[in-house]
Amino acid sequence: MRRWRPKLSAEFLQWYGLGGAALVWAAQHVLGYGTTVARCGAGGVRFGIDLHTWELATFATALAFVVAAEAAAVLTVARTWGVEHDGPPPEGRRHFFALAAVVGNLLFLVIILLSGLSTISFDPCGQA
Amino acid sequence: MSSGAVAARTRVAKPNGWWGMLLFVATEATLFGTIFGTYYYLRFTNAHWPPRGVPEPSATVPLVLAFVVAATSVPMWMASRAARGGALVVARRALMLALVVQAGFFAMQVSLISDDLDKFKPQGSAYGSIYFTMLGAHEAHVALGLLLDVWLLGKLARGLTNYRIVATQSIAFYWYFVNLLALLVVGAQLSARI
Repeated sequence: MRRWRPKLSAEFLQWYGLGGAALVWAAQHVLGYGTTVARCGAGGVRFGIDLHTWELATFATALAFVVAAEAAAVLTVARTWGVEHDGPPPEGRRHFFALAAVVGNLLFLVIILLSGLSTISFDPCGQA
Repeated sequence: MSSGAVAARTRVAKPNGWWGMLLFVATEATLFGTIFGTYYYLRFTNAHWPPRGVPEPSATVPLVLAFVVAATSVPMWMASRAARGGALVVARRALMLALVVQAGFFAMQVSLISDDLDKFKPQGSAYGSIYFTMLGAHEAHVALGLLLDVWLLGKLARGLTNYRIVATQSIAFYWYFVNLLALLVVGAQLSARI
């Protein structure tokens, strides 16, 4: 009996690996800013939003998506191993994009770690 | 049906016209992103929302209207599918049905906005400014959609071509976006009641 294996297209892995982490960071930033305004603004206080829970959930979700993006990029590098980065498309393009994505995603991972840890460590509505 | 129309039916990749509409919708989504961002920013930084002296927005009629216009995504999808399948009459009828409902929505919304303008002004408060900006921007997009519908019906009256099939698909896509916006706009509007 054949085992069912999820099939992820090379195209999807290439683009998610390349752009996924940037999008996740942007979403985390916007969502974090929005929830802070909603918690600390004069009109939001009465809603009693638990900012630390929100920030923690956003942080954990962002981390999971960025790690997945890094995995997609590494998988694409592995699949196109042996192809020159300036080789003919689509394999050459995929290899080139994936190499750049492996490095870029690490930077986004660090940015998300730093901003996430700081927002859950400090007083949410204190003066900066 | 022309040979171009047959080619459009068997096409695998999305046509350039559809991609063009996607880019247009992306820019408009950015515009509305800033409008919604501004609305919620103001909403959470003001202790009184709406400000004193401004009545709370009514809930029932805007909500019903938003769901009615959102439902026109179905005939728009049918028109797009029928055009792609070469069923010209079905495409025209579905488009006409959507146009009638969308025009009714537009007329009702203009009437509601006019009523609101009698109660408070855009220049009176931050609430008034963002409220009328949000509703006005959405109505402008509905008006553009109505013009596109009328133009497309005029084109479809003379049969199907590849160009007209792509136009039907692109305009349907535009309406999905405008209809989603209608739900987001009414959601923002009604959030002032919470």
